[in-house]
Amino acid sequence: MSTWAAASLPVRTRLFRSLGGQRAAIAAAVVLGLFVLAAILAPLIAPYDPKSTDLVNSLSGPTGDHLLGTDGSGRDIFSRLIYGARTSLGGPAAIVLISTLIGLPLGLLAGYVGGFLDGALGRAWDLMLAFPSLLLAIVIVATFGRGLTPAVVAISITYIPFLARIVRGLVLVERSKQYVAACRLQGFGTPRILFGHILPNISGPVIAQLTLNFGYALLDLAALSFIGLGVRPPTSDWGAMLADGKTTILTTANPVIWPSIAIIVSVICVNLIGQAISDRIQRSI
Amino acid sequence: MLELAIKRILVMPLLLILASFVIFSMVYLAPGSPEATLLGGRQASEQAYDQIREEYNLDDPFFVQYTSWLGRFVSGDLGDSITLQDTAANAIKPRILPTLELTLLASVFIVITGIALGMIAALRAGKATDLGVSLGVLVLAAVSPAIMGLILISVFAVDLGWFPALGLGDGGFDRLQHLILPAVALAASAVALVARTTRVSMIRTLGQEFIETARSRGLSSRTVVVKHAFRHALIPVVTISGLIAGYLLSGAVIVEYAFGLNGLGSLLVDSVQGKDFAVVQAIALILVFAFLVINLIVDLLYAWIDPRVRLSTERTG
Repeated sequence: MSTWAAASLPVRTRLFRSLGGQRAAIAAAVVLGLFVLAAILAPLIAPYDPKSTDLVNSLSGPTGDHLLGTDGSGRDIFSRLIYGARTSLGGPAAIVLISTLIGLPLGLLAGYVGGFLDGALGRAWDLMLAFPSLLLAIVIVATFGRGLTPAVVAISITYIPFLARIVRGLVLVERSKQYVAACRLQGFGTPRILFGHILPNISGPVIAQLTLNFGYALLDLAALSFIGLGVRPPTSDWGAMLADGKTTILTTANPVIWPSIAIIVSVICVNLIGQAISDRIQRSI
Repeated sequence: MLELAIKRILVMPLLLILASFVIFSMVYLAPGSPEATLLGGRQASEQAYDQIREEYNLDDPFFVQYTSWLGRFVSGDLGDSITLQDTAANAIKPRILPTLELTLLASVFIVITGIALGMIAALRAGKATDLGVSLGVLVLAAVSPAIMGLILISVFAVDLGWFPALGLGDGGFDRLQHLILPAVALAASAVALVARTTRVSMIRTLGQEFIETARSRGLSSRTVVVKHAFRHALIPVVTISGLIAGYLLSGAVIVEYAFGLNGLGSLLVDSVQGKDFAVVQAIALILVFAFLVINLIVDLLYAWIDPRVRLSTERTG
């Protein structure tokens, strides 16, 4: 795969530059930063309590009182969107963190130590990848119960094999390089070589992958919440807002449009940043 | 080639057995006793508990329970649904066909539009068409089946009234009409992936020596593209089709739920929500089986289509 990526680089780079390149990534980072800021400052920004219902004013379009209108229970969509950023962005962040804390060391070890450990972990990943990823998450949620935490843990587990495999592949390339031999010659222990020397050298592609994983995690968590297995109402969450809007979709699309835009814009921003990172790495090589 | 095929065919049942073991063990991993899990945490009489214990051989050693569960499963007894007052097999059987139709229709959309868009972008590389396709791909990749489904319902079913919004219809042409929007919703993100892969691969292929050779032999550029480049450029697309299969099976769950289609996916969601463990286990095992079979076919197809893989294994084997 890596030879493919390298060979296709000139065209992709050219196109990427024409798309605005690094500038687009910076703009994307600013937009995401604003979303995160809104999530943190939610109580200060949100004009209404995101859970307070007002059945008389339900399903209104955007008005002076309600900037983006109200949902089927008369809750202010703008306020729910802002509060929803907390689980919708915080959840994926937790997923990336958990899956990295487990998948990264396992991938490093499998690639560096090899042998039995590598074989055993490889078979474990094969087994996990025998499940379509969302199905595995659904089965885990079915076992341990619904809610934000089980959904985050379930999706984290499904991301471990992907990350571990990528890291393992990167380590396999590094392992045969001279600096690793030099480290070994100096008598460095395995943890020091792995985390002190190999990890910094593969950090670029790993960070690019983690960025992309954040986007996937955002979509997966929203999907689980959409089918009622993730974040549960009345908690504000973009995926749960989609589920809520589904019940009134035949009347109006307004409650669905805003969380959709929030999700799409976030994922595009994340992907642009990820693309810019891998673009930078490949140019620096 | 033959050796590779045999190896793949032998590994598949092994993975399936391991996966079934994981799915079976879920009853024990779940918080609370296995009886309570199988009863979905409902209040139940002593009698119901005894019945469940007998039905699932819960008094036997763990491994014996597993083998007898798997044995019953293979012989078609998938257990009883506690929410539907029916056997799990009866609940699942009518759900298989709609899911199959939905995923097949989506696959057709993915293959045709994905490859077409990728090819068009590659042949106009660097031009406005290419940029347009790439921007479209960027947006499509960020649109989940749930969002796409709801948008399609709102625009094409509610506002324009071109398609029915919900349900499966009465079979035949009506069924097809009901499945078009769900299939498009399911296909969208995968179209982006296929288009991106095809584009990169085609651009790379067009820069290779054998294409230069074909051109220098005086073949028309149409012949070069259709007869020489096209086939070669599709190899990476075959490689990602396993990935897409996983995406389709996962996405079908979401799309069926969004459109209220009575398929396997929506039954899975209902069963998880209703804590109907036997049905969840049965559907999970069926989907894993389907996924493994598709991946096996993809692997074999890949080995067959790419002479490099075919010949290299023949030489070493």
